[in-house]
Amino acid sequence: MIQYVIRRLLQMIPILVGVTLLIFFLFTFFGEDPARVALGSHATPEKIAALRAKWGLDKPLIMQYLQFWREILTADFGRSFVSGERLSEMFKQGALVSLAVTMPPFIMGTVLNLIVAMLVAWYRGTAFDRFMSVIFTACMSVSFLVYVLLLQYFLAYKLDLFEINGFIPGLKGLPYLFLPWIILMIVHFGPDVRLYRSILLEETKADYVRTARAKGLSEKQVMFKHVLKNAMIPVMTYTVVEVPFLVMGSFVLEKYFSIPGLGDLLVSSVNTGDFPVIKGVTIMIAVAYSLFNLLTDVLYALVDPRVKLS
Amino acid sequence: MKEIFSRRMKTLGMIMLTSMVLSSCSCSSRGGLDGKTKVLRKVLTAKGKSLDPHRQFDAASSEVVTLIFDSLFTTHYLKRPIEFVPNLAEAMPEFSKDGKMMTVRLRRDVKFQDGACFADGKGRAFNSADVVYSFTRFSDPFVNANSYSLIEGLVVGLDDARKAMDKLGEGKYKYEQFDVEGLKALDDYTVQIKLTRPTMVPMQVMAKAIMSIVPKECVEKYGEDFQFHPLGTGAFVLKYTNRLGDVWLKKNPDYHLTYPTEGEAGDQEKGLLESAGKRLPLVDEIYAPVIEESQPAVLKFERGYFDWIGLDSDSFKRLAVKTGDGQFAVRGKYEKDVALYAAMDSSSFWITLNMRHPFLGKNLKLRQAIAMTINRQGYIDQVLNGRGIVLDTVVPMTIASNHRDIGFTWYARDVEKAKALMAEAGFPNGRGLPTFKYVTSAGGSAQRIFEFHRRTLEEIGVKITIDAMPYSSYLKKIEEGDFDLITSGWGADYPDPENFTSLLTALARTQGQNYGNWKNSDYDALSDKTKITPPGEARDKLFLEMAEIIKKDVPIVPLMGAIRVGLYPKNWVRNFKRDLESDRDAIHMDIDVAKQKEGLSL
Repeated sequence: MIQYVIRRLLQMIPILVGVTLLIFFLFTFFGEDPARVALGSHATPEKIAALRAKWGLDKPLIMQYLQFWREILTADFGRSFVSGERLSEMFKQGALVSLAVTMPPFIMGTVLNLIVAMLVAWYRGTAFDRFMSVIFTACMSVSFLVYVLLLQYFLAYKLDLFEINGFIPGLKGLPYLFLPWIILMIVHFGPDVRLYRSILLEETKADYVRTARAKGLSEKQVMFKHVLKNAMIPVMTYTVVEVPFLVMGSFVLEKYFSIPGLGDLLVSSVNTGDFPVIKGVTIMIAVAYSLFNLLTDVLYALVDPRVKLS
Repeated sequence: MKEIFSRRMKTLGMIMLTSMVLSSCSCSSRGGLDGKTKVLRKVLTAKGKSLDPHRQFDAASSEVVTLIFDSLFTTHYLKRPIEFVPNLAEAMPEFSKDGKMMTVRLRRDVKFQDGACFADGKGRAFNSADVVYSFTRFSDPFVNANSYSLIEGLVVGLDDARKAMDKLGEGKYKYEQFDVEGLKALDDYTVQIKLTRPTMVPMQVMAKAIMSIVPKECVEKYGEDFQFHPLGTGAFVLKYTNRLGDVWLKKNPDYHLTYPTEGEAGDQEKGLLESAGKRLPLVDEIYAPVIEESQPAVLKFERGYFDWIGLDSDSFKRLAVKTGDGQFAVRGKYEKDVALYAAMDSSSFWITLNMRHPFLGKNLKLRQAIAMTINRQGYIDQVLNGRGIVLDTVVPMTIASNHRDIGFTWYARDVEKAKALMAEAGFPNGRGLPTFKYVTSAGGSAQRIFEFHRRTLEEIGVKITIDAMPYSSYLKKIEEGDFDLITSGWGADYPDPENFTSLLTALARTQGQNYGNWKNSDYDALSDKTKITPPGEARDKLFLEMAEIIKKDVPIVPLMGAIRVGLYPKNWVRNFKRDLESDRDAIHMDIDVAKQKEGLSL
């Protein structure tokens, strides 16, 4: 197992090289010019050149790219071009806030959606199953923004059940998070339940299920002891790789609820060409994604003894 | 199994219900008002770039900076049109006979706010050395990349200091080593500023937040991080800010200014002079979160969470209605509790035609036809819900020598006449004309604006297509002249018409807004004269001549000036008169805390 983990960690290097090259060239050649954005419309070429020099954007591309790697290896991405804030501090605070927004509904939603999926799979082919399929499709047809606007208006404003907008760090801020949590759970309800239902139904067709039934096990035992356990592998694949993106938060939610997470930070950085922020966040996500993929593989081996890490 | 499911569902249901109850308990608190502390709650619609006065040049930063810092002068809170009054200065500056020497006497009762950057943590007295230090720092190219151009070439020796700093390199100098000839502290409370020519511009710029006075000790202690520890002589002390740009400010009990004792006609009747002579600020705290989206901001305002809110296009439709030209009212159910303000902005928008274009640049009749077709009032009504005023020159109505003052009118909209001109130009109904490229920065209402102009210009057969792109690409493109038509705009750096008219000179082709590359030596000569002619009839005549030249040549089509509309609860907000020039409303506003706690009855 240790050898496998080390090998996979080494395999991350070419992945990171690919990501860095992609990000670097994409934003160098196609992104906003941060100096122009910062200086506005009446900036002279001299002023633009001076600011580019200050930010090291006048150096040869290879030097800029090597500097990028130096920042990755030292985990120090310096300061934001736009706000001048230290990125390490921005990332730390932003990631924790994003996780506070996304993690609870992710956990609650996964459990709830799995339960609903099992219920629907249990009643497969019935009117209930068909009715729920219509509900899932309807849920998936509505855009995220519409959910945000409507639920903020009706649940928070009209019914006064939740705070309309805002964020306070710590436990005192919980009431501000309930509505974003509910929105995230509703948004994921349709696609997740549909996926889990398909996975569960696929498993119920497997040979081992027929064997279990032939052995005289009850449907409850078949479902919980065999189907659920085997279905956990694809479910795990789907859910664990989602975890790194939880750190990113949700751009739309953060905008409408004024939550200082990383989602809003990344999008506004793309708009202003704030390259240090873009570099830092994307590398953070790439590393987290690779690590969680590795974690998924390790978990496979723990859940299913047939999987060997070699 | 069904039993298990139902038990789990019940548990989850309980969790959800508890969550809702818990959250609903806190929903009615409306910002934790205690009924004693006067908290003014306003919405910031964007995060400012910096709270360091000399590093910022954006409206969002300035709105907060002006509460924490002071400048030598400011604008009168109640009087319109704009009138300059002393702030850190004891009186308005005295000018020498030749107008080139400006002497400013400073107040002796001003202290910086307390802070760890001072030896004993107590703010020290403000003096003339702070002015010299702050203005020299304002000229630092590594601190101020954006706004120095406003006084460039106007203060003797300051440009040389800036060049010297640039040559030495960032952080390799102390401001004291630059003995700027035009910037002298005569004694602790007198500063003398030597100008290169007689002009009021430096005084006007010294009234802006960008030329605020900063304490040397704090700037040197925090360096680049001074923006995160802003400390000045202002009416409020920063207590909290976060990455989103939310701010929480507390009253500076030692603040030096008092509420104005006179205003303009009607202010007395509106109760705007009830606080006359009282020590400012009148509220204890300001809480100002950044809410970029209009829905949550408006919903929170309706719930009584805010004491003041500006309206954008969407929220205007919901809460207000246009009742006449420049006249607005609050919609039905809001009338009882909510008052509306409408204030003209010192901004101006126009359409620039690219004079490099083989058709646009060489065919005057075509340009005149376009000028007669553009529907300026329709643009204001349909794109901006009426929140604007038609301008016949580039000078906004808030600034003297605007089109009304100089007696000038632009072409009236006349589609038939425009069609005739198109035929005379050799393009009857647009035949033979290429499709023009309307270049714009993507996002916002860009598409809506383009669609409006597309439909209008189609009336005479002129076809336009949109080319929308990211902001920096847009800037690059228009600076390179790669467009046919664009919408240009300008907000006043200082309230002088010359700040707008000079944008179309030949010099502005490389250093300003003359993106259409228009060149007229008569216009340039008149523009130069306006810089040295004092305000009055003779100067107005110059502006009129300049307007006539533009009308004759049509390098641009003047469009409109913006009107800002917003709401405030009339039951508890006092002394509110929107101050778009200096954004110092919050310093003068007062709150009836008991009524604020009761909230709106909506």
